[in-house]
Amino acid sequence: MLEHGLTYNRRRFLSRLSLGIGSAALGSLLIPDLFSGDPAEAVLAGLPKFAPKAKRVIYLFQNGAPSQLDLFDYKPLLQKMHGQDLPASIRMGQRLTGMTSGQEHFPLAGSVFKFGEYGHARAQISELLPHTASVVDDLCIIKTLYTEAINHDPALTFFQTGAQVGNRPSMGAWLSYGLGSENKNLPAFCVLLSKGKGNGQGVYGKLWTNGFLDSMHQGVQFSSGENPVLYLNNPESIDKADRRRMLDKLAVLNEDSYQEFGDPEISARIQQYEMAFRMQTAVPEITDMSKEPESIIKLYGPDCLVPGTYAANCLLARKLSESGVRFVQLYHQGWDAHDNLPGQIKGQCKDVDQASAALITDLKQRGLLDETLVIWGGEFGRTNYCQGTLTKDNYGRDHHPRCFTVWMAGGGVKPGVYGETDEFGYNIASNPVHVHDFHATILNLMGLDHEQLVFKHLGRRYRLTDVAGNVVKDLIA
Amino acid sequence: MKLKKGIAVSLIPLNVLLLFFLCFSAKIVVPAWLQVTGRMHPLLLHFPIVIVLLYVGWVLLSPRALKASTWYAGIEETLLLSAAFTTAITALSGFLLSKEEGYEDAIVDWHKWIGATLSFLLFILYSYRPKITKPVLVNTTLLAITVIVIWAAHLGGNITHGQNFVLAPITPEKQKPSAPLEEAIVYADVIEPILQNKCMSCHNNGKAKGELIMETKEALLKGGKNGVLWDTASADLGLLMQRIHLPEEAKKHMPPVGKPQLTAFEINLLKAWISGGAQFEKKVLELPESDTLRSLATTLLRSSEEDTYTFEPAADKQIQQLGNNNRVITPVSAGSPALTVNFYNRAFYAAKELEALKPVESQIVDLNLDKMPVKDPDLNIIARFKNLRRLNLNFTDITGSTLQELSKLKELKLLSLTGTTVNAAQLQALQKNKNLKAVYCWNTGITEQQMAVLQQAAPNIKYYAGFKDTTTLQIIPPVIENEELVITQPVALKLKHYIKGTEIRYTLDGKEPDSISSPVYNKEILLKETGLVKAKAYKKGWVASEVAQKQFYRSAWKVDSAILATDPDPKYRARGAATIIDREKAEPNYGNGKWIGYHGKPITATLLFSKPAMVSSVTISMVKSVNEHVFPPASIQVWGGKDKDHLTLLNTLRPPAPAKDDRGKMPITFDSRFAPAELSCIKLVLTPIPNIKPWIADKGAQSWLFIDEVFIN
Repeated sequence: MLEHGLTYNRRRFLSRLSLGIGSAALGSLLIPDLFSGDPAEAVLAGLPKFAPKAKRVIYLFQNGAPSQLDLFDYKPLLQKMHGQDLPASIRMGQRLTGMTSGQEHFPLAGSVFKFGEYGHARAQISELLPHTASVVDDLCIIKTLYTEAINHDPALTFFQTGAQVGNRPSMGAWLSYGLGSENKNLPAFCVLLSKGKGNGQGVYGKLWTNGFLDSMHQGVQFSSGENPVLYLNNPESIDKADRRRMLDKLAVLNEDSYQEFGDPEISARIQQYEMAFRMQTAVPEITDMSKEPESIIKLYGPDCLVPGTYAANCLLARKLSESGVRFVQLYHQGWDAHDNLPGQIKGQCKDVDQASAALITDLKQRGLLDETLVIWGGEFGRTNYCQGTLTKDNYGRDHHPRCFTVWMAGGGVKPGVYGETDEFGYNIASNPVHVHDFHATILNLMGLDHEQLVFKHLGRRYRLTDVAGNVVKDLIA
Repeated sequence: MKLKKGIAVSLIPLNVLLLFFLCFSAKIVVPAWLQVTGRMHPLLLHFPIVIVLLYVGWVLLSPRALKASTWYAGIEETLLLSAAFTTAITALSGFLLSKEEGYEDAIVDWHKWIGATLSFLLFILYSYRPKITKPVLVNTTLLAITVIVIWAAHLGGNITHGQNFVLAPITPEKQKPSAPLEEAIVYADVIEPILQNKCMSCHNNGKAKGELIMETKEALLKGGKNGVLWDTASADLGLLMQRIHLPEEAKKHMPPVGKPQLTAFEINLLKAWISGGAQFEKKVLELPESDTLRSLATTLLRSSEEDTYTFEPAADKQIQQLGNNNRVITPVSAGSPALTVNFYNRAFYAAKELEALKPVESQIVDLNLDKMPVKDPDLNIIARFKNLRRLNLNFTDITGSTLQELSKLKELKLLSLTGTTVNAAQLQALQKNKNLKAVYCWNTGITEQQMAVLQQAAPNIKYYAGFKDTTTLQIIPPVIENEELVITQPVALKLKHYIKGTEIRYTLDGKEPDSISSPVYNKEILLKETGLVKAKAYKKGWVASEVAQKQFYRSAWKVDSAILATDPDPKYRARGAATIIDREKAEPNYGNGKWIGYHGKPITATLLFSKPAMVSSVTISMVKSVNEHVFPPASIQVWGGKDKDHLTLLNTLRPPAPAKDDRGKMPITFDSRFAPAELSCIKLVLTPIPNIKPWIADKGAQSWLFIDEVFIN
């Protein structure tokens, strides 16, 4: 009962109290929208605050940090100075990871891969990404992302939740909270995992947590097997009507204990049972790939029907997004090439290049690209100097948070190349974009003001962008 | 009492003075020290308002009992006197203030005369108070005073704070919708709104501070008492820019301190406009593309591509009633009248569910019917959604026969028809839709040539053909699903491919499958013998796949017990002799407890059968990994007989030594075949390569032998 008292806190108490006629004025001070002229505002919370450019997000997270210097940020100087030490005037004593801080030398490593110029923006893209290059006119390539963390887990957590420590809500959870779900038969936030052959780094449930938001905003992880959502089918001898009856009875019991204890988790649980019931029809329709025409298979690549591959996840992401899932989060592991980078990155690019580009083409041909924001990128970049032994055609690169490349497409972003790094590819020369700015911009594209999307928890208001972040207007079409 | 009398007497000269001022208003010049009094007006005015209302309240609301008391009349008189006195003082100060510049408007005149009237009225009322006793007369007078005081205060408020100051927060803003970028005029749509917001509250027809009025083009060009506002030829661009750029605390800085200031962006806009010649008629898009003013203005204006909605919202209750889990209705954004409607769940959809949207039909701007079984007649319903901008009919059941219905949708911008059977001729009917920008017709059967014709006829509409598969990709290999690698009795070979319609060809003997001679896989194929299964996928339009392969081991006879002559290396003991007869093929990972290993020593194993078995081959499963010093044996001897004391040598294998550059790790299998014989005991002797110097530089290194299983057939 103490717990009930705690959950029935002051805020809730006042919100309820304010409905009483005597407290109406007090209530209107606490909840400014209570008497606002437009009733739509009060009733329809969970709406974009202004007309959104993007309705949905598909985030293709390249977990482990792809090397921007071998994919998007072409630096001929590094090839010219291959093997020479990174000048101290460029490094300026900036922090290193424990893996290279012991190195006596920081020999610069030029990319072994060829770059070409593509599209209206003459964007430089490596030969490793021919398919990406073919859709370059739809891409907004940001070369100057930077982050505060230098190791995988904090950096990844920072990208996903706006804070390096865990337990804050993930971006998808914030969007689910801020905009609600489009299709009530599916979760608003889905998570798909795949693994490349390169050196991998873990992804954990905390990356798609609801944090302090209601549990209904939590990311739902799809399994990479042939049955993406486990335990969704009714067991033998139970049919839909039985299931319905069972859930109704269960809801009555849960409602009773909600009345008694007032724990919001109980009502979240009731809603999740209902959602699972609706998913029993919706999910098999979506995960059934048999109706995809052959040209789609060729578009995404022949791997796209093999469950658990990146290509299959891209295709599934399109199907989920098309069916109104607000936020689909992919993670592809294996980009952490501390050694043998040229070899590892080839395999990784082979995994992701065709399917990433296919997703853009596919959304576009369905008329969905302009309302779907696709994001591709890792948690930080990689160093311009070699980790370990440098040879003419082999090198490794350490973590580099000071500049890296991320691209976005669709959803109201302005195609082109944004930002410049210095000629060493070590520091940002112009137009830096901090992770908080990146988040603020994404929320803006979704019709939300990052300063207004708040949730009060433990006595203070929290935002995805914490206390920082500026919308980068130049990225918006 | 003296004071009261003094005040009462002073009312006469005060009101006379006021009358004098009013009559000779034009002639009066206010000296500086009196200006101070004038400027006290905004402070003083609160007294008459409060006291007049108090007085009225006192007279009207006092109960009869109170009126009978002795002190009632005293208070009444004091209040009235105070009201008359403060009103007169306030009116005088107000008059002085009105003589300052910028108060030449009609509204000021009204305020002045009404204020003065109030003063006179109160003076008369005070003077003739004892004679006014008729209740009707009293009430009328009080009412008149109340109305006048409120009216005067209201006008005063308007002068100070601007029109409608009090109600502004709840008066719905009737902003004139800003012109779309394509039509916007620089002055009217960009510059004037800035002046309106930041300057015109003091520089208008009513209140022309510094004799400057900014409301019309002519007045703006005329300038104020300090001259014209700009000089496009001068370096600092003239008065307006000078004043704006003064430090904010400077007396002449504009807008004055305490008023809303111009933002840096607005200053840049004004500057760019003036330096560009301060043109009034030019359109934004007529400026050169590199022009600063144009680029600044562009960020401010919305392209007509963006939607503005002017229609009335639907009733909120209505929206809620119509929405459900399969027909989701949401406003485009909070407060927007425009609605987005998404249909989900094929089983739910029916024409009547679309029909049900009638109450909100003019608010729907975005309708998503993706994969719903929408039939041709349903388009008649959709055609009534007159404000529809986006329509998604992807993978619906429409044939296009009623597509011309959609030409009624004048606002339609985006139409997705992917995966339907519409044809090019039907699409032609929609070319008249003026606002149509994009039609998505991938996967419709419309040919490239037809698309080109459509595109040419309507250059404003973009027709998206989508992905055409022209490249030939390599198909992925089939999957060999059999997990049990040891065949104790014949089992079906299970091959599968994720892509429909793929042909799988296979071999069981380790030969490379080909598209001609190798058999096509079907579910009847049985695995019976030890062998390397190889399979390849073929499909029209694809390059044949790489080979998928898996080694299977036939194990016809179960060995009942085994003895090792010497103990394996302590690190790789596993379960001893039992390890190699458990009929389980292990991954080539020595530490997994399924391998026994010997370092530099031969392996001698004796296998025993409880009943004699007809044996013709022994298969030994090992591993090689030169880098880890793991080698194949130099020789394999297989002995057999009825017990361990009566054995004959049945076969000797001398496996080839690994090549110099063969350093990878891979499983290896040796098949020792001999004439069939009835055996109860088999002895295997595996001798290691004595000298591994050619491969391993390390002096004194010895080879490892690893074995995980022996299969007897």
